[in-house]
Amino acid sequence: MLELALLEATIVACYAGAEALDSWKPPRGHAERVAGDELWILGPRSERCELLRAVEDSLRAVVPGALVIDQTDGWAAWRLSGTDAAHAMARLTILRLDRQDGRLHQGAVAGVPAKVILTESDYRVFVPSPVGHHLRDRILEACGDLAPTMGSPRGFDGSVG
Amino acid sequence: MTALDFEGRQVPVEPGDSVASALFRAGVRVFSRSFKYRRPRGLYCLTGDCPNCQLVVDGEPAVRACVTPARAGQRVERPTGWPSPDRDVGSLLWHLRSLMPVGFYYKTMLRPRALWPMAERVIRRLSGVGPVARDRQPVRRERLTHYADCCVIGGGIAGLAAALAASDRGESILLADEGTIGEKLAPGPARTRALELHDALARRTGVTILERATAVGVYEGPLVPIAADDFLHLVLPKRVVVATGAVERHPLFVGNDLPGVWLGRGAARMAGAHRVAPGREMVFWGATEESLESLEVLRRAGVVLKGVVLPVGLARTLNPAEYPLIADGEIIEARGRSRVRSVIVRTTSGESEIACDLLVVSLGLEARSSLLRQANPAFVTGTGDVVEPHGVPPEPRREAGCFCLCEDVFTKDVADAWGEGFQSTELLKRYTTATMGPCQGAMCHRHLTGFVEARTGPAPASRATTARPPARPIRLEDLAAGARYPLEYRTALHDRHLGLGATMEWTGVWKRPERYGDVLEEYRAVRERASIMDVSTLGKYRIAGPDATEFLERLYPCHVKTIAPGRSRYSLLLNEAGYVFDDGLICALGPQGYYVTVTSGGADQAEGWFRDWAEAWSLEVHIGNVTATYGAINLAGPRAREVLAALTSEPVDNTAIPYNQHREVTIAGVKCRVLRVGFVGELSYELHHPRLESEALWDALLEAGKLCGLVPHGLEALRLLRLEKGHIIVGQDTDFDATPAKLGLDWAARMDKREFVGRSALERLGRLERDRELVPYRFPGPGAPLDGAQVLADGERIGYLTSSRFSPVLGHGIALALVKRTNGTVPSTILAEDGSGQRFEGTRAQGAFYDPEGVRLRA
Repeated sequence: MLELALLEATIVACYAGAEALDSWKPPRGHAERVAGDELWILGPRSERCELLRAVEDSLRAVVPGALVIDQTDGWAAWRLSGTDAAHAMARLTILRLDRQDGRLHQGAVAGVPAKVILTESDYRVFVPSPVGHHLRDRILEACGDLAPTMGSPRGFDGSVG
Repeated sequence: MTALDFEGRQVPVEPGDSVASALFRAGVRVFSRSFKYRRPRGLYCLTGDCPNCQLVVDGEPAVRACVTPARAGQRVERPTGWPSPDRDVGSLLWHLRSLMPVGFYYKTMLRPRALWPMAERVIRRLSGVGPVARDRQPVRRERLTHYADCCVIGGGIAGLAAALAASDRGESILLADEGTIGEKLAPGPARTRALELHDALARRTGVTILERATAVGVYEGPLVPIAADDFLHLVLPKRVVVATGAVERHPLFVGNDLPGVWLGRGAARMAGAHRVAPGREMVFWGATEESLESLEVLRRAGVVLKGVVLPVGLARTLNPAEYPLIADGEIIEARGRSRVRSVIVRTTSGESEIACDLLVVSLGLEARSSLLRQANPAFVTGTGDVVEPHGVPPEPRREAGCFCLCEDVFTKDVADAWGEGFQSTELLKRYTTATMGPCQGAMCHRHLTGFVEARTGPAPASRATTARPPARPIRLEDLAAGARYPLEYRTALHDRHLGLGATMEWTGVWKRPERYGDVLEEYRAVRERASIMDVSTLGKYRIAGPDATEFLERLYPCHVKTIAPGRSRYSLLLNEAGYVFDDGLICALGPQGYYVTVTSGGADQAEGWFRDWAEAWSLEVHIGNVTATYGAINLAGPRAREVLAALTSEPVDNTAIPYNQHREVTIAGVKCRVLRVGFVGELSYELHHPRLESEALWDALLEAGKLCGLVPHGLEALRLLRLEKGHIIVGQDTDFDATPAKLGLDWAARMDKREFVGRSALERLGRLERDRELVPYRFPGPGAPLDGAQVLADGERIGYLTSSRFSPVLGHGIALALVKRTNGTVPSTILAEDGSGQRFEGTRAQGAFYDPEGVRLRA
C-alpha cells in the first residue's frame, strides 16, 4: 500500500552564522538544520504568519544581521506513507534513508534536489516548487505497480520524531 | 506442450529449458555467424561467457540464449547470415582473409578518401552481430536501491558459503547471481551442495537473493549496479565479495570455433541438466579432476566415446576397457566445414585422425575476474575459483585457431600484430581488438597476457588490461533506468500559459511560452498598449548580513555602496578573467540587505558563485535563494501604469516609483516588490511576489488590462523588443571571452573601484587592442538575416550576427554582430549571409535602435 499526499507546511528559513544557529533555540515549530548557516523552521500552513513573526523576532533579537525568509512557496512537499513507502523511496533515490542517521536527509530524489524528513509513519519529501509536479509524476510512474493512491492534502502535523 | 517461435518454426520447450537448449534439442546447430569472417558458430560454453549463442529474442538483440529461460511464444531468430544463417554467403570472406590482415582498416582505404564512406558502409553491412531493432519499444525500467553490509556477486558454492559466513557475523547480505542458483551446474554433488546452501541462506533474516540479476560493474562507493528484468538494482554495500568463479579455458587449435566443439561444463550441462546429448560420437580432451565429472555425465547420457585424451596421471584412474584412452595426447585440429567431422590427435607416436561429431574440451579454468579487477581492493575481496591460481595457458602455435571468439581474431593475427611492434597487452588489445567484444575477454584475456608473458617474461607489458564496466553485456534501457525523464522546471503560471494556447519552448531547464499566437500582435501590445510576461524564471536572491554591502561591492563591477535603499542598479557579473557570465539588478533594501536578480539560465551557477566567494572572503554574509519562492510578472507598455493603478490604492506614478527604483506595493491584494525596469524599452514594472499567488495576480492583470487591450507576450516578442533597445542577452549576444568593453558596456565596469572580481584582468586587457566588438547594424529593406548569419567585410568573414530581427516599428532589419576589429575599428558596412543563401547589406548604427534617449522607459 502506498499513499501519496500533498503536504502543506510552512517553511521559514533562517540564515546566520553556524555558531549563532547552534546556540539559538527556536520559539516554536520544528527545526531542521539544512546547512551550516541555514536552519529550517517547519510548522502547519495555518500558522504561517505567526511562525514567521515569532522566528524573526526571536532570531533577530539574538543575531541582528540574520536573514529570515518565508520559503514556504519555494518548496513543494509530498508525503509518502503506507507499507510500500520504503520500497517506493528505494526506487526514487539512492539516499540511505535510515532513522539511525537522523531524520533529515538531503540529496537527489527522482533526479531533483530534495530534503527528506523521516517520521515514524511517513517520508516527507521537499523539492523546489518548479519541479513539484515532476516528483508527483515520477512517483506515480515509477511505483505504478504498487497502485499508489492520492490522498487529500495533509497539514504539517509536527510529529517529526 | 509449449513452444517458442524460431524463425517461423515452432520449437517445443520443456521445463528448465534455456532458449539455447530448446533450439539445440530441435536440431539447431549453427547459432550465429562470427563477427568478421562469418564463420559458423555453435553452442560452446553454456555459461553465458562466450558470444556464440547471441540471438534476437522478442526483438531484443544480442541475448545470450544459453542463460535465457525459454518461454512459450518467444520469438527467436538468428541475427546474421544470408540467405540463411546455416548457409551464409558471407562465409566466403574466410577465403579472402589474406586481404584482411589484422588492423587492415587502419591501413587501407586511406586514399582516395572519397571511397571511405562507401567502404565503411560495406564493412558495416558485412561485419557485426546483427542490426539494432529500431522499431522495438524499449522496456521502461526503474532503479531500486539496496543497502547491505555485504554484497556477494555470484551464487555458486563459494558465493553462497561466503554469504552464510557473513550472515553468521550478523551482516546483512545481498547476493546476486546471473542465473538461478545451481542452474549452471550439471546434476551431481556440486549442484546438490549449492542448492542446500541456497536453502540455508534463504531462511536467514537480513538476506536478499537476486536471481537472474547480472552485476554490471563494481564502482567506487562501493556501488554495484545489477541488471535484472524487474529493475536496475543499485546496491550500496559496505563491502563486496566477488564469487564469479571461473570459466573453462578456451583451447587454441585449428578449427576450435567449429560447431560441435564444446567446453566440458557446457556439454555436461546440456547432457545432464537439459537431457540432450550434445553429439553422438565424441572425442574428449581433459586435464583436470573436474573434467572426469563432465566425461561421466556425457557417458551416462549415451554419447559414444571415440577417444579420451588425458594426461597419463588422470588416464590411469580410468578403466581402459571402458574408455578409449589416449594418454598424453593433444588435439591439434578439428576438421569439418560447418561442424566437426573429425579431429587430429597428436601423441608421441604421431598424429591420427578420429571421426566424430563432438569434441569436448576441459583443460582447466580461467578466473572470471573482470569484476574483481575493476574494484578497489580496500572494499572488495574475492572467494572461490575467481581467486584460485589457475596457471598460465600453454603458448599457442602461430596457426592455432580462433583466439578471440567475439572479434574473430586468430592466433596468427596476434602474432602478426606483435611482429608489427604492438608488444604489450594494452597495445595488442587496441590493435587487434581481442578482448574487446561482448565477453570482455572472458575467453581470451588470459591467452593475451600469456602470449605477451611468453615473450617478455613478467613485465609491465604483460600485465592484465584494465577491466571496465560493463562486465557483461547490458541493455541500453538498463543504462537509462530511472533517468529517461527530462526534468522540466515550470513556473506557477504554467497551466495559465497552456490555457491561453501558448507554444512552449525549452530555455535551459525551464519550459516557457514562446508565443501565445501572433507574435506581432504581442509585440504591438507592448509598444502601443500594455502587456504582461511571466518572468518568474529569473534568478532571485536575498543577500543580508553585516558584510552584505562589502560582499556585493567586491563581487560586482558597479558601485554598490552608492545604491540608496529603494534604488536598483543594473550590473554585469564577471569571472576572474574579466569575462561577462551573467547580468541582473541589485536592489538595495536598507537594513534588510539586498534583493538581487540574475538571468534565468544563470540562477544555479550564480548561487554557487555567491557562496564560493562569501566563503573565500570569510565575510559575514547570508545568501537566500528565493528563485523558486517568488514569482515575477513584467507589466510593460505605455499604458502599463493605468493597469497597475487599477489594481492598487497605493501611488504608482513616476514620482512614487521612478525608473530604476523599487517599492513594496500591494497589487490586487498580492504583496509585491515592484521594480521599475526597462528591458523592453517601455514603461515597465516587474512585480515580484509570492509564488503561490502568481495565478491570482496574473488573472487580475489580464482582467484589469482589458481596458487597454492588454495581452500577454512570449519570448519571441521579448527577443525583438529588447533587440530594438540594443539590450544584450547573456549567452546569446556574448561569447566565452566577452569583456564589458567588447559588449560596449565599459560603463558597467567601474575601474575607479579598488577591487572587484575580474578587475585586474580587465586592467590588463585594457592595455591590449580589442580583437572583437559587439556592434549594432541596420539592414534596409523588408527583411532581416537569420540569427547566426555570417558577417563579411571586403570579402573576408569577420564575425556573425548574435541576434537579428525585422523591426516593425522601424521598418527595417536590425542586428547585433560580434565582429573583428581591424586597425582599431569595425567596418561601417557589412554583408550578412545566412543559411538561406541570402545576402543583406548592413550599415553600422549608433546606440539603441529604438528610443535611444530612453524617454519611453522613463515615462
